[in-house]
Amino acid sequence: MISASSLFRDRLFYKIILPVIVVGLIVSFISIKFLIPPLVASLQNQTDNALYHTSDLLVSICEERFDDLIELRLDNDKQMQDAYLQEAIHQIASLEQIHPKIKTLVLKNGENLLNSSTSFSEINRNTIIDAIHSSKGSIVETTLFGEKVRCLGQYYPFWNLHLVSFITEKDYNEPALHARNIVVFGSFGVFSAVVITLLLAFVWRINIPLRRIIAATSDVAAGKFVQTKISGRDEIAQVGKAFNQMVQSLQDDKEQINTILEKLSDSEEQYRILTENTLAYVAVLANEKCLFINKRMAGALGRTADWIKQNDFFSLIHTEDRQSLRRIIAELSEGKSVEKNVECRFVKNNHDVIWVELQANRVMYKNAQSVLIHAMDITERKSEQERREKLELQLEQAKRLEAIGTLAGGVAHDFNNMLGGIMGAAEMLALHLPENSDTLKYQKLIVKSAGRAAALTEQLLTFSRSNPKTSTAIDLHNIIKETLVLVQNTIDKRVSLIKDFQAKKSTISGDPSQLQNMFLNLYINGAQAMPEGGDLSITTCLVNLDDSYCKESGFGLQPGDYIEIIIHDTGEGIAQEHLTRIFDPFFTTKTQEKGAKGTGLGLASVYGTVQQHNGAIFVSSQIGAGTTFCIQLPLTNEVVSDPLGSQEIVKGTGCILIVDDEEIMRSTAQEILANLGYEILIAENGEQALEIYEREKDKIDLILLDMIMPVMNGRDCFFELRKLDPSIKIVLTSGFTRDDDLNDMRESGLNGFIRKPYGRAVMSQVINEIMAE
Amino acid sequence: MGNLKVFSLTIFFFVVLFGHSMAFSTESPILVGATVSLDGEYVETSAMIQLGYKMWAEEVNSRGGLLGRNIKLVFYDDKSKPELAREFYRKLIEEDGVELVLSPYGTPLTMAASEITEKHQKVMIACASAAPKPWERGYRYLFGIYALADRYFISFLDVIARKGFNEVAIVNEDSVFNNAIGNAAARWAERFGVKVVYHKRFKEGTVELPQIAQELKAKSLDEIIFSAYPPDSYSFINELKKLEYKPRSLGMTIVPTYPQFYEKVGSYAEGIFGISQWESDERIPFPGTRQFIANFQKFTGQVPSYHAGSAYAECQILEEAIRKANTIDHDKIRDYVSGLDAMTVIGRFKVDQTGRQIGHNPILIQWQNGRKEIVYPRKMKTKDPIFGVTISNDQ
Repeated sequence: MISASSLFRDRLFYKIILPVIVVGLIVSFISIKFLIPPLVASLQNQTDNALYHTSDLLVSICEERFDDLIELRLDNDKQMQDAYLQEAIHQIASLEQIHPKIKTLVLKNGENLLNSSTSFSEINRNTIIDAIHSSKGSIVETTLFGEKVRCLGQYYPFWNLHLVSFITEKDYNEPALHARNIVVFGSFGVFSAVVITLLLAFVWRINIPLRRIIAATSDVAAGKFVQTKISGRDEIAQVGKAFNQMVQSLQDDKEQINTILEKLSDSEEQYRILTENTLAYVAVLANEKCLFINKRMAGALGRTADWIKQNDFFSLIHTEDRQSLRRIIAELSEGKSVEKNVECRFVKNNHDVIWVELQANRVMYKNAQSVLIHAMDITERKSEQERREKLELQLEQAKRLEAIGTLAGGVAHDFNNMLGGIMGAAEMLALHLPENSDTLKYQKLIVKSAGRAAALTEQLLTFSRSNPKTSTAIDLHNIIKETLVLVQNTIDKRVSLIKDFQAKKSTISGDPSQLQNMFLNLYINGAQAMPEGGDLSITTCLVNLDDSYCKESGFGLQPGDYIEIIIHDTGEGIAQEHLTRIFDPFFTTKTQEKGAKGTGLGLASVYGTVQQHNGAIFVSSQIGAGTTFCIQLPLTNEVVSDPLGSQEIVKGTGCILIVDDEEIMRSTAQEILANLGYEILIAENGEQALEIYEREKDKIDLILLDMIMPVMNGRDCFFELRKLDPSIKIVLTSGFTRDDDLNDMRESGLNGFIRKPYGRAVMSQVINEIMAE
Repeated sequence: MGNLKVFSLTIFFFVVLFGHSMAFSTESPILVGATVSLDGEYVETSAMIQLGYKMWAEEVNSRGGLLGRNIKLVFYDDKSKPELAREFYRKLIEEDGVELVLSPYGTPLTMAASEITEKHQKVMIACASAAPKPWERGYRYLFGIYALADRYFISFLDVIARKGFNEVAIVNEDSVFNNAIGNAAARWAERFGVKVVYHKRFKEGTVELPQIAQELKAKSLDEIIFSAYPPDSYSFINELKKLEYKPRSLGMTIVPTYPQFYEKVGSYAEGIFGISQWESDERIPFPGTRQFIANFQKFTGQVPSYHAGSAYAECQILEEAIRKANTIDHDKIRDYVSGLDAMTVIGRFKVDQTGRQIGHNPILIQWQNGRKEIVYPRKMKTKDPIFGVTISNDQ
């Protein structure tokens, strides 16, 4: 709702028109007040003049006729005088056409010559004549025919005429009344016309152009440089023209500004892109305060730019680098030259460390001497470098261990075969000796020593992964628990065993005995590292290892789900130089440092066990803080079976072909199996085995095949036999077999595997089981 | 002997004065004769007439003459005496052999001169005779230019009657011309309803006028008509001034028309009416009037009076008649003039069978603010008449 006062305030239109109306009304009233009286007087004067004029005309007519009479010398002719008089009267009568309101009387001897029917009494006649004489040529007011009149009379002596002109009061005042009405209505009419014209002119010539200009102004304010339409040359048009020039100027200016802004924007954008999106960290420092920091750097530090500006910038520097960087900044501020590139560390808000390669220069920033810091994040490069170094170390270690393993494996294999012969011969010796013979105690000594030697070679073979494992699904947590029970009573009571099984799954495919040995070795090592006691924790968890991790691990891992076992002791720790050789066979510090006995094969066998189970093992240690072993083993979905077989001797029947290049092994096997009730055939190599099988295939029920043989090894012989008879039952025996070969043969229908050196019980159970199939 | 000497000197004077005109004509000039009053009561008016004649002759000769011949004027001084006028006109015709005659000034001289011209059948257009008597003699070669005396005071009486003044006094010289005026005024006063309460004729102005003036004052007569030649007119005014008497309306003949009238009588002239045949006023609407006034002033250095204008009009009519007749045959000239109805520089010219002017009417002038104003007739008036002008201190 717009109030009248605001309308007046806000609209130029009303500001102009209302005063015009007020002034117009005042002028109209004043005009009427002061115009009418003189106008009426003027009109009355005009009427009087007309009366005078008419009177003069009357005289003039008479004069003219008289002049004619005189000029024509007819003034003595009575008839002509009368004729001229009549002519004059006639002409006077026609005067009413000129002034209809003005009446005339021509009196001659008391009679009105204009109208013969009008005769005046003596009184009336004298009244008129007296009025004429008293007027002395001026208008007088008198009463004629009962009506007030304004009268003017003249005497024309030649014809003795009284020439009277008169007008009634009513007719006399009528023009004045008309004039009054005309003035009143005319004034208001003119005023109205002026106001309307002014309104229209204002609207047309001022309001509309102004509105156009206002609209154009709004457009300009809105950023649209629209010029207003101009017509005419008046002041408004000049304003419009000036406005258009201004708009043009503004437009030009804006275009220039836009151009400049674009350049500035480009420049700012370039600057912003360079500073904000540059890979570098940029900051400006003055008096140890950060004046500017780019987003990348602030984001990398996990802080806001404001926070960094408000706090000590050097609190973001790693404590080890803080002093040196402070020195560099100080020297720069003093104008000294400093080293070009400095590697240092920033600390993020989550205490992570960012490695940077930093450059600093003196700059003027906001008119103040400042130091520009330009730093490149080299954290990844540093990590990569560390990782590469670690990897190289691991590879070097792996290669070294591989070489050692190969060597150890070969020795252990031969040694194992010899032990096999010693043990077999000793056992066979016992069969040939009386039960109460004194010699039996030597025989038992031989078997016992051979057994210890076999255990030693077992560890060697495990390390070299030449010791074929029995692969079965087992619950690793059970293995850990069983081994913890075993070790609990043997280690120092001051050592606390802490078990934390976080892994929800713990089934792996592996050899239970090897795994038991592995954990026992690790527990004992950990406990021995804590002579004063401490915590020995075993923690499991599940991890998923991706391809890159697997590739970088150096253990030939396959991507997938793994169970991670972390065994941590709070012992003395291992020196860094020892850490790289810890898995080397026969490497031990126990003798030297502690006086404890050690074969140097414990951790080597651990390493071999992990590798044989397709896993990975890492060790980290810090002097005084303890050592941590991290083992990752692949999970399996197989169902856990009974891990340990019985020592029962199971006899059987059937024909068995024994294939082995070692004579002692052939003899041992032949003795055991024959003793168990089986018929025995012997082949010294693969080719011979094929010949025998072709000849005796109907008789042979099972082939006991050695793996490593000259002429034709066990693998080739296996596949040839399968060709001859895919259904023939073949059991592989070996103390050193590559898992790949074993797996291939299993996939091709290998019926069983017995690890050398084998005992009678294992042999009887496996053979009996397969023969029963 | 004395008269002869004067005559001889006069002839010599005019021949010398206009001799140069003859030198340019191949034919003998037309001798045009007239008398002028270089002495007597008509001196002032006659001088104006003579100048009018001379200017006309100059103009005709400058245009190549009349009928191819120059005009040569022959004047004799009649000393305002009719007998001398009669003698000189005889001489002009019989001895000098003038082919054309021009009129002298005044009715007495015109009557005397016309006796000779009529006898010799010479056309005379009288430029300065307003009395009716000259045309009551049956003359055939005499024509008048002036409105006659009986018309003189019509205008004055009309004016005072319409003003409501119903009494008038008439004083006139006991002469042909002035008696005619006085008698006619009395008749017209009656017709306008104005009563003539006093009518006096005088013979010897210097003797009678003081008495008359005293009587007029004694009777408190406000409207007065006075008709006489200039000397008596000035005397009458002097008598009135002596009596410090100024009538409300005073109408006079001749002298008020003189341009020098105001100088002679002073501010007493204010309000005095005068009867004039014509006025040297550029507002006069007749053809050639303005040019005539200008030429006359250039020729003489004076403002022409109606006498000069009348003389020039006389010459215009005579020249026109000769040119139309293409001969100086006076019978043909007479016939032409008799039927002429034309406008001259002083107004209409039309005569009746007696030769009396009937086309021209006198005008009424009044001195107002030191200047002659025409107040009658209506068509020519330059001012309305005023009445009752009092005597101012300088009077």
